[in-house]
Amino acid sequence: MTHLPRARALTLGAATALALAACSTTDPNQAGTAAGSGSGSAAGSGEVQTGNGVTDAEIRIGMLTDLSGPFAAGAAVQVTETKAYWDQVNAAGGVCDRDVAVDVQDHGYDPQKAVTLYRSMAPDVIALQQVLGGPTSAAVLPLAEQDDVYVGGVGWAGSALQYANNQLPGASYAIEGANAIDHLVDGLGVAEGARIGVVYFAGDYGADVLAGAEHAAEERGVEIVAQEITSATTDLSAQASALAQAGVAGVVLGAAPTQLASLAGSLASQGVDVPLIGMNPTFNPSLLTTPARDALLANTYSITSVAPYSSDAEGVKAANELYAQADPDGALGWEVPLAYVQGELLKQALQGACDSGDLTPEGVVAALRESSSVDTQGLLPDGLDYSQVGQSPTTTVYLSKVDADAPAGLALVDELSGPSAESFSYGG
Amino acid sequence: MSELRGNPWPRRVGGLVLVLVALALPLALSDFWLQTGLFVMAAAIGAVGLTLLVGVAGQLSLGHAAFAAIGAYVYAWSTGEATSTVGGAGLPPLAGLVLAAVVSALVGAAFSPVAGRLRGIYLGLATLGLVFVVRHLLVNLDQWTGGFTGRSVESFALGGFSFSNSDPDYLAVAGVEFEGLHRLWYLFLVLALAACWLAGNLRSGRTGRAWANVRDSETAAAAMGIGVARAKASVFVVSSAYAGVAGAMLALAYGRVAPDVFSLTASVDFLVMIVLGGLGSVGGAVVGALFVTALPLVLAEYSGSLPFLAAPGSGGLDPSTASRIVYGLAIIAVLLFLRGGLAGAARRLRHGSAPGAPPSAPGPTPHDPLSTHDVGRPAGGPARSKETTP
Repeated sequence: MTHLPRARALTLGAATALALAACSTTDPNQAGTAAGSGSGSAAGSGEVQTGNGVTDAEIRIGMLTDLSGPFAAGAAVQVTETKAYWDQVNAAGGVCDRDVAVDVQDHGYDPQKAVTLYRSMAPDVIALQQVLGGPTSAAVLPLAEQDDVYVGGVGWAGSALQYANNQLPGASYAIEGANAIDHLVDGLGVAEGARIGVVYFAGDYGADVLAGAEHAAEERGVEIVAQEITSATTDLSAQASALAQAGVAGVVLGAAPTQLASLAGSLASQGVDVPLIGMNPTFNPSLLTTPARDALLANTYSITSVAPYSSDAEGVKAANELYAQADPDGALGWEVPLAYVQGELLKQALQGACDSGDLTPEGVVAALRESSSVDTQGLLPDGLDYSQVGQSPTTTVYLSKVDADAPAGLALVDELSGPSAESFSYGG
Repeated sequence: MSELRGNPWPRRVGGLVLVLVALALPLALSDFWLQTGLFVMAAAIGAVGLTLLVGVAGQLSLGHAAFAAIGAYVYAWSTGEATSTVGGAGLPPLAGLVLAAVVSALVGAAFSPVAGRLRGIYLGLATLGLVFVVRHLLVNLDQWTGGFTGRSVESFALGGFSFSNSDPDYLAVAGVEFEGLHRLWYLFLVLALAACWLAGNLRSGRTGRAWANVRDSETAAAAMGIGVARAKASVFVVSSAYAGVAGAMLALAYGRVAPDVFSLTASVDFLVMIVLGGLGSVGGAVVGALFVTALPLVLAEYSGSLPFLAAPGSGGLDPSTASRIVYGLAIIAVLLFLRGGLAGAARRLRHGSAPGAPPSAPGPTPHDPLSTHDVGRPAGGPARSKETTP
């Protein structure tokens, strides 16, 4: 028994020594690059340096989306449109003389799945075109930032702007909220000193809308009546009563289609005849088949960062035609131009990386951050500026009115860039 | 894991082989499997803590995720640097990990008077309230928690060695580059082994017997000189500390904490793990954690190569739905056919070859998953009504 500890200690010591002998802290690649120039795949001057997800014939991009959770319906439209977009790009010669292949994975709105799927995907893709969903993208974005991987399409919440590797497709929610107040004052005749209701989801989306609206209210001399709800709140008659009681002259809504229908219906039934402006994801054409139809047609506007389906801009038409070919029976909506423009933004970043001879994940992020004036044929406002991390790329948004005759239920009214949207800045 | 019966050597050798395999795995695995492994080991610690509470001491808890959340946020807050948006204490990570366990244990202790007065389904409902209270606090105390979007988590470090991709920036073992995931694997393995060893000893020792006695009959336990209230409080404290460590590990595995991770579903998943594995069994809890955590991740990853699963979004049976169905079926099958869960089945398998030698467990015997919930059993009423063969 007395020998056992010594024997154990010896075994342990030997094992530790072996393990330590196997260790090394000098990176052979690093040593190589210090001496030479660039890694092995960058040979001559005309050659493009390549990294993860790029071969001589193919560029691989990823898409983490929600095809079995709460956003399944809209996400399926985006997957169809995205695949059609890249097929079209490949038919026209691809990017950097390579075909682009899309790897679609379903995280089902589960952050744990999103993180593991990201881990399995990251070594094989150059960029992620989309990570759908608030909690899922919040889990993936910091990991992708560490790995220097481009992430597009995580929605428009201002909290995503802090990541240098993220590309916001258009104005952030705060800019939408500020523009909504500006339009209520300038376009719809809400007087100074009047009250404006803001009904918003608890969370990054609603909080961002509220921040923008509060900034604008201060600039324009109106008063905000804030009503916080959650996505589980589907009957908004209590909020409508509170707004009626406060005598609001307009309402801004940062929620989802269910809440829009309920709020518009409740306000109308209480005889409150004021304009209602919904943010990006609040309108859905199927709402026009609900009892709230008349109320929606009378008073409701929608502010979007991406041009609405009914826009006659060149890019939107191209997007819609492509979708009609890919899925003739598919549901129409704002997802169609969105998916197309996300593809377009990533294509431009890939092209930029190719032009600078660095077709690696880092190269794509660098190309994104060098682009200070991106145009997308009218899908997004022109002149998007991605050179400033932490600020919205534009202050321009699209204002549409609910219209039963327009395709997808929204008729484009105008492009807006209000004074308080322009003076808004994050962290300021 | 701790059932000391018969010849211990086959078990010891088997355990040693498993540990060696776990030590060698990072040399071979891809990032996906490493990340999955981290989630499994974190969940396993939580499940082991819950099996002590529910399986050994017979107190149903639906609030395990709340204690995990407390652990995760305490770690994130105490190790994080204060910024303009969220506060932080900037403590060393080891202190953060210890604090995570201690604070969770203290909250468990604060809750134990409630646990002492309620039993069965009523205790389950009371702990359910904890999940919602904690979630509300996490979303609203945003100067500490970062609110709805959560906050980032400092990586673990020990004496200048960081368990992340940097510091040392390059570390290779036998030619394989060891990045953050590889390094965390070993940290988690050490924590998981320590947690299992401790739980096994607790379970088969004096404390565990007292817990099991209180579960079976409070009156009998009191008559034997066991302080019932004290035993109930102590198991709640231990289980909460386990959950706190598990939460801190989850935070490390994500690199970020957000309230959505610690939802009611997470609590239910912990319960599923221990019921599948066999209530009261430490090894069973680990296997249950492996099954419940890894199955959906693996199905999602390999959905493309499984012919019977539809591509996501095409309208057929997609991987997420499939894994939920497999879960459901597995639970029903275990409850119906495998009394005592996977651990019970393994025990029967071992002793099936020698029917003449019934198991003589010196520790508390694991029980039928249904009887230990003691749902509907009135407090202090006739005990051990369903106590049949182990």
